[in-house]
Amino acid sequence: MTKMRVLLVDDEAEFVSALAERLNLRGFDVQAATSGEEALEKVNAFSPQVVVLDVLMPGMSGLEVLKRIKKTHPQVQVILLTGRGSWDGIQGIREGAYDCLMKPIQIEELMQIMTSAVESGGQNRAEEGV
Amino acid sequence: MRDLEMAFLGKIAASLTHEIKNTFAIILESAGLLSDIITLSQEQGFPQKEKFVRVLGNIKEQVNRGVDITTRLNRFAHSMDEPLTSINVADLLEQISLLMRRLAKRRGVELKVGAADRDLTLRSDHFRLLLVLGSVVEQLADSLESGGEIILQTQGGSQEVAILLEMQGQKKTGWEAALQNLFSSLQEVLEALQAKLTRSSPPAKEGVLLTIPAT
Repeated sequence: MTKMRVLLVDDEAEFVSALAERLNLRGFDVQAATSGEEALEKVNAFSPQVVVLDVLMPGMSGLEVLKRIKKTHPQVQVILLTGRGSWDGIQGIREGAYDCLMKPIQIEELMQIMTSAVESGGQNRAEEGV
Repeated sequence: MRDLEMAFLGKIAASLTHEIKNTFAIILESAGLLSDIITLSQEQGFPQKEKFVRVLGNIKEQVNRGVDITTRLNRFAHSMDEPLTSINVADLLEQISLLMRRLAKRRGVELKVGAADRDLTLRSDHFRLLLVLGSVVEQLADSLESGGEIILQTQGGSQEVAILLEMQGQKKTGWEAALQNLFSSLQEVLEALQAKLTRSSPPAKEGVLLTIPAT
């Protein structure tokens, strides 16, 4: 069975490496990036099916990264991570994110949402009526 | 100028709580990874496995507790964002309950949210409302003997919103005078809110009634 390709993007390197390893142990093919610029390079090189993307990053923000991914790779599903709350979620979904999760996350919930995102084939959760 | 000061305080507090949440996220993922390594790893005979799993469980529990506290603080910080905002009254009572319950508990008093109309909203200064309600809760908790209860609830109203802080239990000597002193000290804030604090006495439910214009 083909492993789901996931790109994790967060400026907190310890967070992203621990989460990457946990997802690898659960059978996902995971790469990580710690900046918006690095994330865009890896989207081109790795062709992830899902990008899990922190909203608040120094330099290029998560929302800016989201906009660019949706422009160049519209088939890639993006799940936003935020510590702030519903405003980021609303903005993100307007810009094409599939869903938004509050940090800290529960890995089981993240896996469920990533699977739904890939299976949805382009609709976000609002459009699905979830 | 006060609004500027409050907005700054709120902004800094919100920013710091966001940073603390990131720290908790790292701890939780790291603890989760250790747990995964122990349980998903193919290695047999991991030394003291049960103890590791138990301690990791404790770490996760405390992190979730920290996140809960941080979320409450973050929400409180955001109450200072705008001097006038639309407020759901039931949510306001929940928020006060979460902010003040530990303080009440340390005085042996339980703080509860009772009947509250979920459709009731008002436009007011969120932070100042919390200040008034929080101050009254604290005074009522000081007024009750251990084992007492304070129940937050809404009462009727279309033009104005009425919030009753009901006292149940044995009261300490001199509580009424102390309550009057509190009312006096809150006079300026109440005027700014165009609100009133009055005592509610038997045959009505005993406690303090806060009335505020709905708009």
